[in-house]
Amino acid sequence: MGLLTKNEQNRLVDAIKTAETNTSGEIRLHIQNRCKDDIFELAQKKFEELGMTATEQRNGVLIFMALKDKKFAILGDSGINELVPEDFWQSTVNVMTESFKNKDLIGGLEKGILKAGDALKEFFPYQSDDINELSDEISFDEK
Amino acid sequence: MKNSILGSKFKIKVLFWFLLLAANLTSYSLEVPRNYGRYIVDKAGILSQSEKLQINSLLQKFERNGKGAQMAVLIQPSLKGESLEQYSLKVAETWKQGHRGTDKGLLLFIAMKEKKTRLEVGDGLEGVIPDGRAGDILRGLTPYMRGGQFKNGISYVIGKSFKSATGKSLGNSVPPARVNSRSSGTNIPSGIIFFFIFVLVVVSILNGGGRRRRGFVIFSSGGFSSGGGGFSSGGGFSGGGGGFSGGGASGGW
Repeated sequence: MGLLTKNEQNRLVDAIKTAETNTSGEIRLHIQNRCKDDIFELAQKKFEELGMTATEQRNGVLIFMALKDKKFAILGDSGINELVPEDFWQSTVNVMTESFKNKDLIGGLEKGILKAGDALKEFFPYQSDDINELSDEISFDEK
Repeated sequence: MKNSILGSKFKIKVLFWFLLLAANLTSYSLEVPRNYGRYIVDKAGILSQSEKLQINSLLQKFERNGKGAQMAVLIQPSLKGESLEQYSLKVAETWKQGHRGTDKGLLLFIAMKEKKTRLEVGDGLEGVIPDGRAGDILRGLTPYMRGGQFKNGISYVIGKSFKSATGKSLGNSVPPARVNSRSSGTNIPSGIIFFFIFVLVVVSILNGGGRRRRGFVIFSSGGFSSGGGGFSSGGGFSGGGGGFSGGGASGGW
């Protein structure tokens, strides 16, 4: 889709694959243009809509972007949320915001994806019978 | 020789009792929670995750446009015997809101059990928010707290404080507090029923195991049974079942 170039998409899918190596946790990225309402609520709906609550250990992480409105949210399901430090999500948001402010959208997303991946690796190490429960594709919506 | 041995034993004993006393005293006092760089800490669990994020972004906006002023919010389930003034001052001094040197920090502190609120105003803001003004703002918060509209109440205080500190509007429109007379008979049973549902949810979660931190936080807020009116915002269980029940954060650039 037109929101990102093919090259940008490849970089992000690669980041997701790297982040998901050696962990049973799952990361997804959703990108759209607009968000008029509370981004966290919208992201929560998307989390459910994408079926991300279906992971066995409730360890899905969603990064939700509204490009034109310059808002974003990162959400971790109950399994991962219980284990990370209380400031984990906020600190991830801060790291990403830094890059976004420097107009490095893809770099910021990569950092966020990899940071979430590090937490997942720590708390949900890879199991030999692990299957990739969720698609690595990026979800787009031209809203 | 004998004497000195006895003497040292006695000293050890005294020291021991002193330490015990000191330990007792410290365990009695209410700790200042770490805020991990966040603007709002809700130890009482009266706000949902989404409500906390909304207030957090409001306070971010406060700081961006606040001409050096900065505001934070702390909600505790109880003061545990501490004095309201001393404790909130201790928190304000520990968190050190307000940009370096300007002392333009503001802290809204709420103690749920005692039903007490306090607005701690840094020296740099006392000219624009004197005690009388702070008192007015807090009186405006009371009806929201009585009606259980905690998020709106906190948002109200933030908006009024910003207006006083900068002379401008923060742009957060807060609906007026619901008139929710606590003496009306229908209100109390619904509150109690809600509390029992709440307890059931908590118990089932605790039984379900695994929910370390969250379970504890919610449980500790269970002591609100006598807290009165509308329990509309619990510990953030929106979905239930297969819904999202985790956490997160949001931002903008």
